[in-house]
Amino acid sequence: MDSLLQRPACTEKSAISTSHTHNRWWLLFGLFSVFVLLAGCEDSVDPFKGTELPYTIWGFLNAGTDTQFVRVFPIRDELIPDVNVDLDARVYSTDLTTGERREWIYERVDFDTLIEGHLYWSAFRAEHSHRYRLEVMSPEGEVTSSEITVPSEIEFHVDIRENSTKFPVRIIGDIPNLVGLRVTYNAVNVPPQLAWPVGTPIADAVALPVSIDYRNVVEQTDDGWEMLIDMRRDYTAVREVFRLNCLVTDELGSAPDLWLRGIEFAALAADSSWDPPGGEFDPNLLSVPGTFSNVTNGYGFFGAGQAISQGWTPTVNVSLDAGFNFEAQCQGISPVPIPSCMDPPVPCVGERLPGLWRIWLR
Amino acid sequence: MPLVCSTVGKGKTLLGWSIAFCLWAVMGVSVSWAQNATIRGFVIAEEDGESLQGVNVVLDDLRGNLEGGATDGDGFYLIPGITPGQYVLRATFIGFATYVDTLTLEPGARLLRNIEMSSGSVEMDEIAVEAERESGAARVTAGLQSVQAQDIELVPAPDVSGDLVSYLSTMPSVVLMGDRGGQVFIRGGEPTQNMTMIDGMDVFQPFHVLGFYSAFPSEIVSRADIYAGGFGNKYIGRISSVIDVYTRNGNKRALSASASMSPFTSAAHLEGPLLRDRISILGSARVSTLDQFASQYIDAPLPFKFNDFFGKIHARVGRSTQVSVSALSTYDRGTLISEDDFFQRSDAIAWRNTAIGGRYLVAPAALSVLGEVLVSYSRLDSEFGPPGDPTRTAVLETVNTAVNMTNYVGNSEVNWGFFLKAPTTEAELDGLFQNVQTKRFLTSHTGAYLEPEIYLRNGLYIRPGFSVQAFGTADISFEPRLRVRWEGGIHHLSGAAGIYRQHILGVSDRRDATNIFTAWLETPVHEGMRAVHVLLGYRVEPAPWMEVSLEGFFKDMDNLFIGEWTAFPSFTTRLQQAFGQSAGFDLRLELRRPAFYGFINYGYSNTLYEVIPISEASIDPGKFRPPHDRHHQLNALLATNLYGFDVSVRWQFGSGLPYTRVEGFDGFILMDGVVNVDEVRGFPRVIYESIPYQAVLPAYHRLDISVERSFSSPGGLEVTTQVGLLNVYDRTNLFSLDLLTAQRSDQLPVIPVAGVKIGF
Repeated sequence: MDSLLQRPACTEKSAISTSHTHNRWWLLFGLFSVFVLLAGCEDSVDPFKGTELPYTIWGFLNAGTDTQFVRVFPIRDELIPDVNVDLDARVYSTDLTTGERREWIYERVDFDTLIEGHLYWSAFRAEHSHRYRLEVMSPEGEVTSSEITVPSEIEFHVDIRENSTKFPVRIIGDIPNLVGLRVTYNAVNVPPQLAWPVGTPIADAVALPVSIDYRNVVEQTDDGWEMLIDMRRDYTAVREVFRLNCLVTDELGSAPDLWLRGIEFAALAADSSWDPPGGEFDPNLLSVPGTFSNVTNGYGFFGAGQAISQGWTPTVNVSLDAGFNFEAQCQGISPVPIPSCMDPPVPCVGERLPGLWRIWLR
Repeated sequence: MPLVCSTVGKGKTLLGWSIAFCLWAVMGVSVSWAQNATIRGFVIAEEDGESLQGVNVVLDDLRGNLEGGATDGDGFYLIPGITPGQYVLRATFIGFATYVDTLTLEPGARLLRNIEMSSGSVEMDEIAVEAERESGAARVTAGLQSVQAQDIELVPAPDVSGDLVSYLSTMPSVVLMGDRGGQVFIRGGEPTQNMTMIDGMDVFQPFHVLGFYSAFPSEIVSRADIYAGGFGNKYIGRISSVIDVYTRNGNKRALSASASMSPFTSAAHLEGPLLRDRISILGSARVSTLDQFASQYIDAPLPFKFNDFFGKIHARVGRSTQVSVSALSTYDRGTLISEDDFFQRSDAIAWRNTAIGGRYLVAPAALSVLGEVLVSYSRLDSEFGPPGDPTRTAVLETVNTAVNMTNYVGNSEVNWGFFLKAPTTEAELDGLFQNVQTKRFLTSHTGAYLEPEIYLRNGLYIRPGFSVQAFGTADISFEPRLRVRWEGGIHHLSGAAGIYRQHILGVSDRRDATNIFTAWLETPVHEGMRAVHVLLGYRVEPAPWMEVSLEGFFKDMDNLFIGEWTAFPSFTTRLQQAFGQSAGFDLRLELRRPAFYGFINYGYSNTLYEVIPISEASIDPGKFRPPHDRHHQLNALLATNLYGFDVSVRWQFGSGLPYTRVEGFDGFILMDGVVNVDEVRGFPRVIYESIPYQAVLPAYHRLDISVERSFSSPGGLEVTTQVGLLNVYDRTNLFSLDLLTAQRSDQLPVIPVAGVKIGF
C-alpha cells in the first residue's frame, strides 16, 4: 500500500510506439501493448475536496466571569494537526451596543497529538443585554464571525434545608434558554478494611463526581424557571454509576458503600441562539457541521450567557436519609455469614486493567 | 412418503391451510388421473452413477405425438396422464448415446423406469441438442442462471480447479468489492440479503476472504441455480437473491480422487462407492497456502488463511428413494487493514461456517409426486478485533426442517411445501452500533408455499405462487410471486415479480471497506425488511451457436438498515432506517463455435438509498448511492484450444464505486452548558460532504489468462498442469481508501500462477 503522493503518475509510463508495418497482426499486437501499458496505470484518487471556510470556533461570552475564552480550529486538509505550530489568526470582539472593539490574546494549549488547542482570551466582563460580534481574521483577511446578545441579568436561589433531601431552586429573569442544568454529587466509595473471603481484592477508595441532568425536570414559570433537587432519587443513579465502574457491589446495602462529600448545582442562563435542533445536545447529531451553528463563513458555535452555580455539603442526617452511608457494612470475616457480604467487592475493571482503572477514575 | 404437516407455531390458520392443501394435493390430483398411466424414474450416467439433469425423456406413440420433458437436478422425470397404449421411450442428452425402449402401458399403470445412459455420440439434429442445454452465459430466464461445473472451469483462476465465485464474478448482476473481503452484492442487494444454500443447507457467509475462492470448489458442484432476483416461493426469508448449490453425489462405480497444488491453495477430493451402485461418498478439502507460497513472490501482503471441507454420503435406498447427508465447514481469517495503517490497527476478521444436513427424496409409486424432506443445521461464527482478543463477535445459527413436494399434472406441475426454522442470533458488538441492543435472540420461523407451474398453450408457462410466513411474534405475512416464460422457437420471453421479506438483519459498517464484520440481529422493525422485484427478459438464439439475452430489473427495498455517517472519526456508528430502489439491465452474448467459446456481457445498475433520519433535526441527505452501487460492468471471456492447450482469457471492467469526500478537518466541542473551552479537549472532526457518496472511485479492470493441459499416464493417472497470469497488465485497482488519511490499499498486482492436479 502506498500513499497517493508516492504513486507514479500515468504519464510517466512510456507507450510502445507501433512500427509502420503493413502486417495487421503486428499492428494489433502493438495496439494491445499500448492498451496494456496504459490500462495498467493507476488512477489517482483524491478524497479531499476542500472548503473555502477558514475556521471553526467554539466558546461563549460569560456574563458571570471577568475573562472570556474562545477556541479556534483552522479547517485543515489533514486529520492530524501539527500541534506545535501557533495559529496566525487574530480574534476581535466588538460590543455593538457601545462600539468598543478589543483584540483577544492568543495562547496555545497542549492537549495531545490529535487535538490542537488554539485558545484566545480577553479580560473583560460581558455586559447583560449587549450585543457582541466576534471575528476571527486570517492573515489573508478572511473573516469568520458570530453575533450574539448576552441575556439580561438573573437571580437564582437554592433553598438548602437541613432536614430534607429536597432542595427547591428558583432562577428569576428573562432567560431564553437554560442549558447545562446539572446537579453534581461529589461522592466517594467506602471500601471495607477486609473482604470476605480472605484475599479477595478490594476496590480502592475513589472519588467519582456524578452529574445528574436536570434538563427534563426544570419548569418555566412566569418570572423564570424552577426545579426541585431530589437527593433520594438521585442517589439511585449515583450508586448505579459507581456500580458500573465496579466501585460498589451489586446488592444494595453490601460493602462498600457511598458517602457524599458535597453537592453542586450549575446551569447556564443562555441566549436565544443556544437552542440545539430537536432540543437535545446529541453529540452524534450536533457534530455534523452546520447542524447547530451561528457562525458565518465557518463552523462552530459561539454563544452568550451567565453561568450560575452553588455548592454545599448536606448535613449528615440528610445524606443518610438520602441513602448515602459513611460506614462500610461488611467489615471482613464474620463468624456468622452475612448474606449481603457474600458478594465480595471485586473491582472488575481494576482487576483486568489496573493501570487504566487508576488513570480513569482518580 | 410420510407427509409431515406443519407444526407451525404462529397460529392455527397456517396449520389448517397446510393440512387442507396436503389432502387436496395428494388425493384430489391423484384421483382425477386414476385411469391414465404414469411413468417416472431417475436418469443416471452409466459410468459413475451420477444423476443427469436436463435429459430429454420423451414418450413417442408412433403416430407423431410426443409427451415428456427434461429431468430435474436429481435426474428425475415423471410423465403423468398417459393414454394407455404402446410407446417408445427415448432419452437423449449431450454426450450420451440415446436410450430407447418400447413400453406397453395399461390403464392406471404406474411404471417406474430408471434409465442409465452410456457415453457416446448423439444422433440428433443440432438444434434439438442445443435446446437441451440447461446452462450458459446468456441463458437467463427471469433472473435465473444455472451454472454447471464445466462453466466454472472456463474462467481463469489461480488454481487448476475452478470455484463458483470465479464464475459469479463474470456475471453482470454481481458486484464483488475486490479480490478480497468475500462480499458479493447482487443487483443492489447486500450480501446478507442473499440466500446461499448447498444441498438445502443454509450457508451464511460462503465466500472466502480471498476473493478467488468460496465454499464451492468445482469438484463438488453439480450445478448452481443463481437467481439474481424474482425467485419463486420456495425461497423464503431473503430479499435480494438466491444461490442454490447442488453437489454431485459421488461416483457409485469406481474410486476417483485428485490432489492439486497452487501458490494459493492445496486441495484434494475423493469419491467412490461404499456400496456399489447404492451408496457413494464424496469428500473435498482445501487449505490456503498463501503464507508458504504466494506471499513469497507477490509484492503485496496476503494476510489471509482459509480452508473448506465438504463431505457427502448419498444412497439410493430403493428404486425410487434417495437419501443423502452433507456436511460443510469453512474457516477464514485475515485482515483487510493495510500494514502501515495510520491508526496502527491490528484488527482481524474471522468467520467459520458449519452446516450439516440430510435430504430424503422419494417418488412414491402410487402418486404422481416427487417429495423432498430436508433437515439441516447451519451456524456462522464471526469475530473481529485484535488476534486472540476479539472485541466483536456474532453468531447466527438455525435449525431447518422443510418439506418440498411436486405434483405432476399433464404438462404442468404443482410445487408446494412448508418449513420450520429455529433461527438464533447473538452478538457482542463493543458499541459498534450505538443504538442497537444486542442479546441472544431465539425465535421460530415457519411458513408454507404453493407454486404451480401451469402450461397454458403455445409455449406459455406461468408460475403463480404465494407463501405465508410467520417470524416470531411478527404478523403473518403473505408474499405473492409470479414467474412467466414463453418459448416461441428461437425467441424466449420471461418475467418475474413478487414480494419478499426478511426478518434477520445482517449489518456491517459500510463506512469502512476494510471492516467486513457482520452482525446478525432481529430486524428492528416488526414487519422485517421488504422488497418488491420486477423482471422482464428476452432471449434469442439467432443461430445454433449464438445466444443473446436482455433482462431488465427493478427492485424496491424498504426497512433497510445502514450505518449513520457522523463527523466523528470514530469506529462506532448508529443504525438508521433506509429504503431504496435499484434498477438496471443485463445484456449478454454467448458464442459457442467449434473453434472457441466466448461470451461478453454488460450490466447496468443504478441503486439509490434514502434514509429516515434518526432525529428530526438531522440533515436529510436525500437520495444517495450506496457504496456498492456499480453502474457499469463488462465481462468478456474467450476459451479455446491451441495446439492441445486449453487457453482461457477473461477481462472484466467495473466502473468506479461511490464514496464520500472530505471537505476538511477541524475540532468539535459539545457546547451543552458551561463549557470551559480552555480546559475541554474536544474531538477531532471530519467534515464530509453533506450528501454522502457523491464522488466516484477509479474504475476497476483486470485481464486474466490461464493455459491448461491434461496428460494421461498409462497407469490411469491424469495430470493437469496450469500456468496463468492474473491481472496481466498490473492494473493498480483500488481496494479501499482511508478518507481520514488518504491512504489507499490496492488489490493484487500482476500474479503469475502455476498449478498441478493429479487425479484418477
